Amino acid sequence: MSTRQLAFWILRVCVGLVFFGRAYQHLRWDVPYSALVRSEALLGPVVRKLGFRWEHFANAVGTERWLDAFAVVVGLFFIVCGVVAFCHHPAVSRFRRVRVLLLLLGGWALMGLAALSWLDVGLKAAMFIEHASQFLGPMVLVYAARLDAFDGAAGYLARLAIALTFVGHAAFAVGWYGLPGPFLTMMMNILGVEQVMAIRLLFLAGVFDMVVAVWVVAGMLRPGSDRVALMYAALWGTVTAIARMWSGMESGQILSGLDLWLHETAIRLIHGGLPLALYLVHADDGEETTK
Amino acid sequence: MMMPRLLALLILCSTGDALADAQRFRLTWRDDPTTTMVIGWDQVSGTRPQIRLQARGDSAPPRLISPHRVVDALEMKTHFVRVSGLSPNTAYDFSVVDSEGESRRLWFRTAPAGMIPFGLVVGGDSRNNRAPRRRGNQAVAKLRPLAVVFGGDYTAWDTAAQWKEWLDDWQETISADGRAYPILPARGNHDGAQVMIDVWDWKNPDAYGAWSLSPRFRAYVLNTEIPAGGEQRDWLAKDLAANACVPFKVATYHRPIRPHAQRKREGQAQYTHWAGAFYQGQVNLVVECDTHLVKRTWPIRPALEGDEGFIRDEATGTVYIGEGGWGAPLREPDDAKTWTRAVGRFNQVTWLHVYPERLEVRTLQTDQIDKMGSVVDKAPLKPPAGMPLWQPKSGAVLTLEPPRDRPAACPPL
Repeated sequence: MSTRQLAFWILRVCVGLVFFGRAYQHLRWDVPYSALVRSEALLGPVVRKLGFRWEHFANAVGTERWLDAFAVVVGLFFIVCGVVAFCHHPAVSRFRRVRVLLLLLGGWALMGLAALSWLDVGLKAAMFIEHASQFLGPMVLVYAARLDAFDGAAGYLARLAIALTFVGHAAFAVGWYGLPGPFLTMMMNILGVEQVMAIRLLFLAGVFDMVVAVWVVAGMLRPGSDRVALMYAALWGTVTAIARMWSGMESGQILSGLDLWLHETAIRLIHGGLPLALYLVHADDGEETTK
Repeated sequence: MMMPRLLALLILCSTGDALADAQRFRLTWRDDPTTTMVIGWDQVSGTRPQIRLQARGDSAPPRLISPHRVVDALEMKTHFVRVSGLSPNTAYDFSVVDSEGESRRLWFRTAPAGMIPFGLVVGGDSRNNRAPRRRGNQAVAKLRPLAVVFGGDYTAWDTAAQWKEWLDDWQETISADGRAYPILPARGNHDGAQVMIDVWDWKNPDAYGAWSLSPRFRAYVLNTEIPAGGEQRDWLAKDLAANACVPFKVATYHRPIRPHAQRKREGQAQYTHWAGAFYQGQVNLVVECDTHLVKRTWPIRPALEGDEGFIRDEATGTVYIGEGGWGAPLREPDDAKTWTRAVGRFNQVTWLHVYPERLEVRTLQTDQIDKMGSVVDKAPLKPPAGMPLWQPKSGAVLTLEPPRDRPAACPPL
């Protein structure tokens, strides 16, 4: 397997894992559809115009069951998208158009989900942009498969996704919105440091995240000049994805820990996988130039 | 044309009772509830505002107190006066006086220093649906508690517009005779860290703390949006140990340890760091929120071999109730455990009676609160007529006795 093929394989697996992780979330856990459908500020006027009492609509058992049923349907759709992502390869021409269509639709659905998360957390923009690698990943895969490389559109899109994800990470890590408890807990659980030290380390990580974002965007002008930033992003993105599961595995609660956190790790592996794939492509470019 | 306008202006200027435009009142505690009170309000217009404060029946001239803190946030000019030197179990009248006149007159009561029974209203999750939220507030006005303990998620988006609307609705907690009630506010996942300081004047920037509302009752407010372990766990364990002889302890926080809806995620960190502390520290009652349903458990204690890490223990366990329902969209309680006593699906607040020798828990269905009468101060714990009491098969009133195995060093009750 060449380095480029390895990069493409990593991309397929990571995009597939995003879909499978989201599918598990939809079938098992809470999804933020309520943030839209049961928001009086957003849908109250519409519901009242249709002649219903808002309170009856928002609190009806039927509304909740429809939302749950919808989540199951979306979860099943994400499973299909995940299988397609795993199987998507430029050499396979069978059902190519259908595969591309499903991946793009899946990407849009992930973007919608990111927007709902943004709504759910009180309109914190960083929440939406932190999801960029997840919802742009399928599009990168489509372009990369078409070009059989990360040149042109696929490369630009991948860099945009990485930069946005790391800006989102940074905003939370430096405490722009107040430091999220789970971030701090992860740091304390894994490194065994005190809370004060965890806050300092997170701030430092946030600054690094910001530097990486800027560096990767600059890499659009001279692809390959950002290899160090991509390597760091690959490492840190993977570490933060695995940290969720690692930190969540409390002693004596292994199974419930996996139930709670494995899909969260699967969803976020692309935060490290996308920069790793790009890094490998440029490493390959370097080798070819040397030859 | 000019004459009528001039006349109107003259009439306005000659009105003796000009009103200061102070709105969105709220009371809270930073320190000892028996001798202090924080009065917060939004100063819409007027300058040099002060709080005019006088104990009921006191012939001495009223105290005029300037704000200790002014916050320009959430499109409000919030002023906080931190009053100290008050007498326990005493009614105080207060109003805002400024360059434009005097605001409406309100009053509050400080916590008792002795063993006088009192009521608390406990609940949380008022975001999204305004009508049930307002009914929850009206329940407070009718129940006339010593204080409200609120488990977080005030608004959905934490924006200025939503907070102003929320605080406008909060004015409905003020009883018809002007009595206002202090709130002990917890932080929910929809509440920003800074908002807790800007709206509630939290002393601890991490928004957790404890208050002794009587010598026999201590209320803990914890924060599930920061690490449950680390400094918060250390403080909790230390405070529980220091108050080992207090027979009644109640803890409130937002995200539940074991939510009673299948799709809600378990609170692993709270389980690891708090459940054991509650058990060892003999916390009688824990109030959780976030899921927007109704639950009551039997007394339980953490044990890994039990159902989701808990087993029933009538002798030494802690009762968990919840989980929100002050206006947020309701959820189906489809995840009852072997140690669950009762579940329900309706908007609700809890009316907690604190007696020197027991606690009593009543859950009120706030959708029918308009039919309920008001509590009178002469009998603050007598249920009013038409009270919409939840009546699960296991009993409408849950009674909690002091722990049977009190530390040997503690004086007898």
